[in-house]
Amino acid sequence: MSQRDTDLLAIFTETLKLPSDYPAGDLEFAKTPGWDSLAHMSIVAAMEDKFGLMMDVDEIAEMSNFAKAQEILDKHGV
Amino acid sequence: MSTVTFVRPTRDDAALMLGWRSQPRVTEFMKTDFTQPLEAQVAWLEACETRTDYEHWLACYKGEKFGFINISWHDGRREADWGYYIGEESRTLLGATVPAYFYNHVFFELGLSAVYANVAEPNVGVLRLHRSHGYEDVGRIEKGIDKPALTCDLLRLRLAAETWAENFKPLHRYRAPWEPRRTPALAAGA
Repeated sequence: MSQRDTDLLAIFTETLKLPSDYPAGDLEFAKTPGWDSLAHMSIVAAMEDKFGLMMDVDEIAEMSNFAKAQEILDKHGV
Repeated sequence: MSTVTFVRPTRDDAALMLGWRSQPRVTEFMKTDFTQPLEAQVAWLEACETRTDYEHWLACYKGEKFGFINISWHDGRREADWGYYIGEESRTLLGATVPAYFYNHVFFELGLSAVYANVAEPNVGVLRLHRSHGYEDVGRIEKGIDKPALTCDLLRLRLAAETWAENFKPLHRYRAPWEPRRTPALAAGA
């Protein structure tokens, strides 16, 4: 896993209070414990802070799992 | 153009709204369980068009309706009670953005000084959301919900415009068009 994705996973596990070795592929909105709409906005805010980007509402609406979060970072050139 | 918009419900939305409001996920912490027939829902929507103390909207994402917001004005229209729910479960990812769109509209465009929300005490998700947005607890309505499936207190919360303006600047970017009332005199707040 790249440093970027390690940092991204840390955002999810820290926000959702999950073990740091939680499988990234298991991260899914409304299924992963703690990932509700409020936690979602906390993840968005943490990603914006960490990677220096600003997500639009389409990205917020579509980021339902870890892979989609990676795609957003790719799109922003992170 | 914003992909999120807020439109006025019409009688054509009655069945959609009735379906949302009847979902256990939505009705669980409401003051009443919803059992009225479609005809009554249509009549209620039409009656709302002429009310001066109440307004409502449907939240849309890319034109698809996904949630409901209502506001009940206090005298003087400087403060109001409000509530919302996400009707389309597939759009709950946007659930925490809807209040931000609402606060930016009512505080920055309509000039309200504060909004209030009554939240069922067991509804910890919404309590957490509101408190994270700067609400303060200002009261308790004992047995504010008293229905067969649930009896509990309602907590009364208040969010001041200055709190939102000063402490939540990253959320001020959530702006969207809000459809005005169709009745011109009421649109002017008469």
